[in-house]
Amino acid sequence: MLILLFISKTNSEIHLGVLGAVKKRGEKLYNKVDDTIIYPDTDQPPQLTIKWWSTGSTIPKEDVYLISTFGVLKINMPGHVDHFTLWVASSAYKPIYSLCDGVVVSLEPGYDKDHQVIRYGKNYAVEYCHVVNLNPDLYIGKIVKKGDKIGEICPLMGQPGNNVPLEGTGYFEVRFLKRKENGKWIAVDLYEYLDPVSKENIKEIWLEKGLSETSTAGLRNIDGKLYDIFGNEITTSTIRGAVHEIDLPGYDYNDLIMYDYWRR
Amino acid sequence: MRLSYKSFLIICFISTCVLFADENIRNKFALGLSFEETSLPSFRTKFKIYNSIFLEVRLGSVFEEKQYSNYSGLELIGIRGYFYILNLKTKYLFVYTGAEFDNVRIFQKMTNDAFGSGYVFGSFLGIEKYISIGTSFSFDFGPYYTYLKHKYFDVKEEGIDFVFNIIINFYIF
Repeated sequence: MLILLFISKTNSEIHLGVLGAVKKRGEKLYNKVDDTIIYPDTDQPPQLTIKWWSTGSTIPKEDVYLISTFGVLKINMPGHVDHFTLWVASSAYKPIYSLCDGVVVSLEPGYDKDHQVIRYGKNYAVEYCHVVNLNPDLYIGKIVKKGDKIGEICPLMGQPGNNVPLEGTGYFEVRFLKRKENGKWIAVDLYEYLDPVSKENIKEIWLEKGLSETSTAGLRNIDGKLYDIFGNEITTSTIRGAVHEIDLPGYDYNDLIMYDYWRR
Repeated sequence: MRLSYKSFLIICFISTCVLFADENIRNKFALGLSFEETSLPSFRTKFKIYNSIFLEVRLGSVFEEKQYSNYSGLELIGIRGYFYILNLKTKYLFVYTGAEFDNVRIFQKMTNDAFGSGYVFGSFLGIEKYISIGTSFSFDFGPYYTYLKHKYFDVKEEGIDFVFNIIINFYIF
């Protein structure tokens, strides 16, 4: 009776074997961390700002060779992991800035396995890939502000897209992640969440260098048209493909929201 | 894994289960398995150190895929001390009490490093019933205090749970 009274008054449980009891506590610890490092305290999405030529970046417009759209087929472009990022080709070693406030949850710089993830609130995160010269002030749990430096653009390795200059060219990717109600993290089109100036900047590049008939940026299919991964044609009027978020089996980004992925 | 677990049980049973051919039950050294609510049992080695005092080393782990979580499982290594307080040899029944201390490491997917660690301390009261000269079942129950801490963050999880243990012992000597 006393035991049952104790259990009802506390968070105690009865288990068969110690492993079950510790497993439950271990899961609780994991979830506590998940709830602890959240900044800012919101479940609403951020407004993202990309520091381009008109918003204080050191990257002049002519140095941006190409920006891909979400879900676009990568024809003649490096990188085959997936297509659900904003892929940017520009001069190597130019600075990359944080698109929004947040807390650093993953840091692993490098070419192949690089995931710099900054979580915004409870349900959103921005992942920066192909970052070199990572800002040494960053660490897991560090709160960053919009515009803080993440690192620099990784030099391009391998064959670039058609007519993208090889010498001095670099690229990086930004993936925007959203947590669904069931806990699954999915990739979504960050364009929806950009501030108006950033939207205009990207649109300019798309129209000039990605979507124009004379574009040699390397996104076009052999028929000369541009498609998203589901075969929807992207034109100057639609600008983007029909895919705005990806929730398919096998596309699970939960592994990226890892607090101690970074090995100290 | 299932095959080796079964093989272990069969070997232990054959080597220890001679049904009371001898009145002197074995009680010096045993291999054991404890039943767990998790998928696999944990392994134990129990040996007599003095009269009514026994020591046991135990090893257990739980690893399982969990959807939309990076939590993957835990490893536990511990030690148990037994003190037999009542000996009803004619019924092959013993009453014991004791304490347990376990060291715990908890893991997440994609990294080999533990993201947290801690310990478990518990005490228990139970009975051990022999079904042959070398095979017995132990049943005990008691409060267990668990303390876990994250490796990098100042986040802890602790509390008392009540644990019911069912152990099968295969006494070799």
